[in-house]
Amino acid sequence: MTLTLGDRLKVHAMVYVASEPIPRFWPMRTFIHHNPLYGLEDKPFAEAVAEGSRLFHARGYLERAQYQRYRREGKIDDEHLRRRIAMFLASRTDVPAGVDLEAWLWHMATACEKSRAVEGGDWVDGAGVAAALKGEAVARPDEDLDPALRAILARHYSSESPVYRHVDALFGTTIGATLDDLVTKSCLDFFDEGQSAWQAPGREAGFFPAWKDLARRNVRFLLRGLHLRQVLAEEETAEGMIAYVLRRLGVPEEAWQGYITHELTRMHGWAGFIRYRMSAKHYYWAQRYPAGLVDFLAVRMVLGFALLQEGSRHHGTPASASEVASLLDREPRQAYLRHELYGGTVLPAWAHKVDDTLARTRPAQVARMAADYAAARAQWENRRTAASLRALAQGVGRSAEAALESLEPARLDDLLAVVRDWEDAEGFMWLQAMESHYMNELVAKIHRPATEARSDRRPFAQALFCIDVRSELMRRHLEALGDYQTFGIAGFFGIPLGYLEFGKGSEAHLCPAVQTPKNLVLEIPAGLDLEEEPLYDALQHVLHELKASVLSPFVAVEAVGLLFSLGLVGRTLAPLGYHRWRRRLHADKPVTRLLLDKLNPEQADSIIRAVQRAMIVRALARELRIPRDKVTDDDVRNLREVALGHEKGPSMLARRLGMTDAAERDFLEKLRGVYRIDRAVTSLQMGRLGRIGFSIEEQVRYVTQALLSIGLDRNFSRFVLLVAHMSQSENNPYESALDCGACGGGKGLPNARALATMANKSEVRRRLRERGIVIPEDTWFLPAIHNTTTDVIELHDLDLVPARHLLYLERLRSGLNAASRRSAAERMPQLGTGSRLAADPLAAAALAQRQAHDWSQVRPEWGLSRNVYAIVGRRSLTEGVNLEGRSFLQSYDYRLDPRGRLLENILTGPLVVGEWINLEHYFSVVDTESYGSGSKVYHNVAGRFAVMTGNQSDLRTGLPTQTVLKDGRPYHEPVRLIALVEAPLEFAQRTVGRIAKVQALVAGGWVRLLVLDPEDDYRVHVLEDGAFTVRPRSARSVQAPPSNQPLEASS
Amino acid sequence: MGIALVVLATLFVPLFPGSWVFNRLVAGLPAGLAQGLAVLVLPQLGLEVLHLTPQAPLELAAWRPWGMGWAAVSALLYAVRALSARDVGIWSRLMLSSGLGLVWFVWWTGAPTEVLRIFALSWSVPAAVALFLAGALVDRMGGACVGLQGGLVEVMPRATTGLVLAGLALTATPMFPAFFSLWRGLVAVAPAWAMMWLPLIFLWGWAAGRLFQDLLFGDYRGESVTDVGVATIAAIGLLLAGSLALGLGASGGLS
Amino acid sequence: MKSLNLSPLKKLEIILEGVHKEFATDLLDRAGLKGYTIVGNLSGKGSHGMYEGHVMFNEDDALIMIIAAVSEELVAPILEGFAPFFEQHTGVVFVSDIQVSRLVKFKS
Repeated sequence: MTLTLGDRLKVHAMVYVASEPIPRFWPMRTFIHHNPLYGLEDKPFAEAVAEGSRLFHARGYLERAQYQRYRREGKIDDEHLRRRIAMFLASRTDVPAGVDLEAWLWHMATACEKSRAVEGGDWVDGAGVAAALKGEAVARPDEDLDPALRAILARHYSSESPVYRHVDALFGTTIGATLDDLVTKSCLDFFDEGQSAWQAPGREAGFFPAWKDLARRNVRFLLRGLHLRQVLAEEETAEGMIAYVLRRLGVPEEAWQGYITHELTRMHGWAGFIRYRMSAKHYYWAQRYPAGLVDFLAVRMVLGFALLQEGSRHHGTPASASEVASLLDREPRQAYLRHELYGGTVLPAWAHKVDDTLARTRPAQVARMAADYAAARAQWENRRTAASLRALAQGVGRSAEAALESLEPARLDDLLAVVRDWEDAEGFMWLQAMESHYMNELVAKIHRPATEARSDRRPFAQALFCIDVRSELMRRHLEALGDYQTFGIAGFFGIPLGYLEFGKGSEAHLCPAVQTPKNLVLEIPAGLDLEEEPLYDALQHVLHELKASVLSPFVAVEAVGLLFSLGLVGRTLAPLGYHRWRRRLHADKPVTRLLLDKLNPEQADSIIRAVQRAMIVRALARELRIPRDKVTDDDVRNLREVALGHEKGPSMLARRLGMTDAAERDFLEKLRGVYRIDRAVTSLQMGRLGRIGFSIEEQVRYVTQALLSIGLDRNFSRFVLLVAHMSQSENNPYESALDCGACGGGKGLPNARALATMANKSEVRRRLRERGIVIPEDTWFLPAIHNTTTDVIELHDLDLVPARHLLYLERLRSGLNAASRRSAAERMPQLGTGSRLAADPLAAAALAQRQAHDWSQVRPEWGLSRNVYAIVGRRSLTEGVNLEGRSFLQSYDYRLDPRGRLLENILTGPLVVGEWINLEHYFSVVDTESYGSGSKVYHNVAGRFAVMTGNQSDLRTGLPTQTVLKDGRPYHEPVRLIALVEAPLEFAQRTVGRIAKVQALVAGGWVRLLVLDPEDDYRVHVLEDGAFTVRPRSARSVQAPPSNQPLEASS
Repeated sequence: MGIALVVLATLFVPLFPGSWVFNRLVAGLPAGLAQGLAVLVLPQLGLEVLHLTPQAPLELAAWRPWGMGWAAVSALLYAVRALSARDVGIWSRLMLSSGLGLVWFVWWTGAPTEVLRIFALSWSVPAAVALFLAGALVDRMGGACVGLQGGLVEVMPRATTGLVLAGLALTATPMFPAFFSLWRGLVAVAPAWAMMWLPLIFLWGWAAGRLFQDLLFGDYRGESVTDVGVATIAAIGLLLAGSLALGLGASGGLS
Repeated sequence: MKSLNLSPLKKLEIILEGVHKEFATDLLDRAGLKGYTIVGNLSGKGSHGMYEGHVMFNEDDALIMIIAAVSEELVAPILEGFAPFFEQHTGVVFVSDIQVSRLVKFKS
């Protein structure tokens, strides 16, 4: 049983292939909405959903009853559904004559309440159903019962399924659940990111080596009866272990790939997280404690193998695939009875008898019981199917029932096959019908822009919002209030940057998840006052560290516990007041600036010098207790040179103070090691400093791209607001999900400030003028942030605003406040807080504030739920239209984009992000348990990067039920993203065709594409079934309403 | 003569091995009302038989410790068997056999027949309710097996409530008469005897827990069924409440 | 001129999609290779259609070729290792005979 190199490599490749469909799981601190079936995006949508259902045991579409509910609410395009039925039947060759299947299928889809109208079964066939329809007894399947049973068992027990799954199904053991628990525990121990006070030892060696080391001595395993030491001694590497276990289990080599896939997809939360970790280069924890999917699989297989062995020792259950196979082959009757009883499908009246028979294990009795039971089951299944068919026929009409009864068995078989295939595919048909309805609605709502020349009247202010659906509300209200013009741009404003916040130690990537930023931006306090940490912050730090200590419960509870209770009571009873009081205690964040300009080498060098000098002074104070006033600048400079090796010999300071050689060498070592005044580190720091900032050309390029992509190249108003967005909530592991997706789950304010600083720079404006974009003298770019939970827009960098603009600031502020309150008034009723508030914007705004601060609130805001549309085009298409906050709005003017480069950027960036968000919501709502993460109420944070349900479970992926369901019914309506692009048809096609990824998405049906052709009388072309068809438009007015008209009252 | 009557009584008030007859008798009847009535009537019949020989406990006083021990062992045996029962009817029957062991236990101490009757009723009544509801399940689903198809409470909340209350009553949960009966019985004997009953109480609780787990948790996977009628469940509620009141009153009256 | 000492080796040319580059190089590392060469931005035709050659928005969409010189006994294990991968993905492996002059660079 020696394992060759080839075996090991093969296992490695198999794990890689098996892992591809598993979606990566980003740590929740930067929650990224992504498509759970991202690994299957190369397949068309319906196929990928079917594959995903198979792999992840999940539903891909809603229940029929829910779609019928939508139909009653008018959200389904009936005509489209009928067309799909007709297309389905036209593609079949086995439609039985004499049966009006179209009427049957229509009735089934729209009137039948059960999820599955006609159930199948192991024994259902045309002859049996025919007999049951006539009321006769179904023929007993007793002659060649054994082969029939073997066939049934072969269908249910494939060699690619894990062995313990078969054992659980045949013997009622709980090996699967126990295995999941043990693996979860092992993963929690290894992957913890600072949540537990005692960390697992030896993690640097890797997941499998560290686990192996512990498992050999784990008393808990021993108590369970798991003897792991011998198994672990067989192989050194993880791949070797996997191959060894597979061989010992007797799994045939052709089935290895499928087996491995099943094992990995069983816990797709953990597997997804490990996959993310493997590919994240800059992830600190992955660098320190490496782990791969091969390790994970090895741990799982070793534990599974040990559990099987233990079961075999104690209960006599099979311990390998070959044993299971021989049981299925030699004793099919016993296996069939076991399959029925422990699989939960046994007929209730027979349950006790079957249980008794199996317990007594007398072969003759078992054989007889199996025959009797099979006959009873055949009878029952065929009767049930016949009854369903009859009920269906009765619903269709009198003639249908007669037609049904006149069918012969072979035709009944055909009928059953057609009905079964239709029911499998029905979900997709409903989805398409629902999308058709929404497309019709969109086409009816948008109006062609006013054809007069773009007015030269200067708006009071222009605002660039993120394309997020929540901005739509704010934009609509703002535009209705006054002379404001709004645009939609990706939340990171087209500037991917790494952001180092003041006081934080690590860099945040503020750009879409698929990009890696090349530039680093630092936040520097304007005062540059390196003061001491204020007392309150220090106290708080100490208090929270106390919580993690082991001894503190015995010592500190009486003394300190009361302090914590203040927080408990305050947060629960009076959240707003408590937070305001707390804020007063904390130090105010100082006024800061962004370091945006590239440093030249001299500047970088002088920065490093300054930092190193400060370090040396501090070192002198700490290590040698020499205060600053005893040391001259020259001494410091000299010490630095000596530490870096540029100068030799004892330093001036040492000579003056008479330090011994040894003491001085010690000190220098400390400087190099602890305080990092070292040549290698210096060059590293120079390299890092080189990343800081943007060159002037880069700045001009980003500003140009941002302005042109939204179509704003002239007629700038006095204020151009760059509004980023963020959310605010307490005690919410999903808070990143509510933040800006385009900024990788962060807040876009630094990007807004960066773009504002760049666009306000005179040098940049000069170069823009050369390119034809003339920004007037008195235009000022102002960054702002929109808090989507409270709907408040806060302006930033106000201290930089030139004096003359201050006069207009009041008007701007009041306009923004009014828009905030009106947005809140529109949003609050949907959160179920009482509809009388809709009339009172002030109360709604106060309520929104409370939502943001209440730590018991499981739903601070609806976030991106209910998103349906993505509109890429000019604002005049949708000005004044109430899109109910369901649309991503990206401003785009095709006339400024002759080569299509800007459209390319939009399609690869914002559109893909929109698709990810849409599909994340889609799958989380159709299956809240497998694709979604279940109820938030049962969530517990795991290791600070994910949540589990209960105290131990697989990591939960996707969105919680509170985000997508309301009162148990779906709140988010699952349809694919309907993307409307305003551009000439051929131009759009060509642009899409140039980008392989977008082409695949559009062709595969992951995004529904509509093209509004401005040069073809604004006809809307829909991509359906591989071709573009023109959508008939409803008779909507074709003139845009003039601006400043009061909003249409929304019901 | 007395001994013969006592042995006859073990067939009706179940005590191992005579309880085998009791169980076969009840199991042979059709599920539902018939079984329910049987478990109400048969123990009372047995108590009537015992009433014919009121001197028997004194005559057999030499055997008292053995007799009491045997009663406890019989109860333990049935409790263990009930643990693995998945069928509601079988579970109730076995739990009843276990609980009625107390009657024998107390009989050995020479308690009057009225007391024994009340003790027997405090177990028989909930068992009858449970068996009646089990019959309802058999009518609708073909079998009264729980745990096969997930939580029954989703589709038959009223029946499940009745079963839960009956189960609690059968396992001597406080407030139900069986608890007071147990209390009365154990208080009257030496503490060492009470020790023998502690594992029994533990087993009863465990058995109840397993039954409830299968009844109440899990997504229902089976066919759709109609629930028990409101009138029926109201009657059952009244019956259980009545027995509760009676138990509280009677235990106050007994000294 | 000294006579050249040429030693025979096998050359593997592995053509696959760029997105799987790390997997392939990792596999070769595990097989114990000291080095390999990667050629990028290839175009070509396969069962999945034409591949364009120029870099789109990232390197993931283009084809790459990895060239490695291995001793004979490593060929079978490496091919065995890649077999599961190529069952699901486009790409090919070509094996040919070559001779190299500095054997020490290739064998560990």
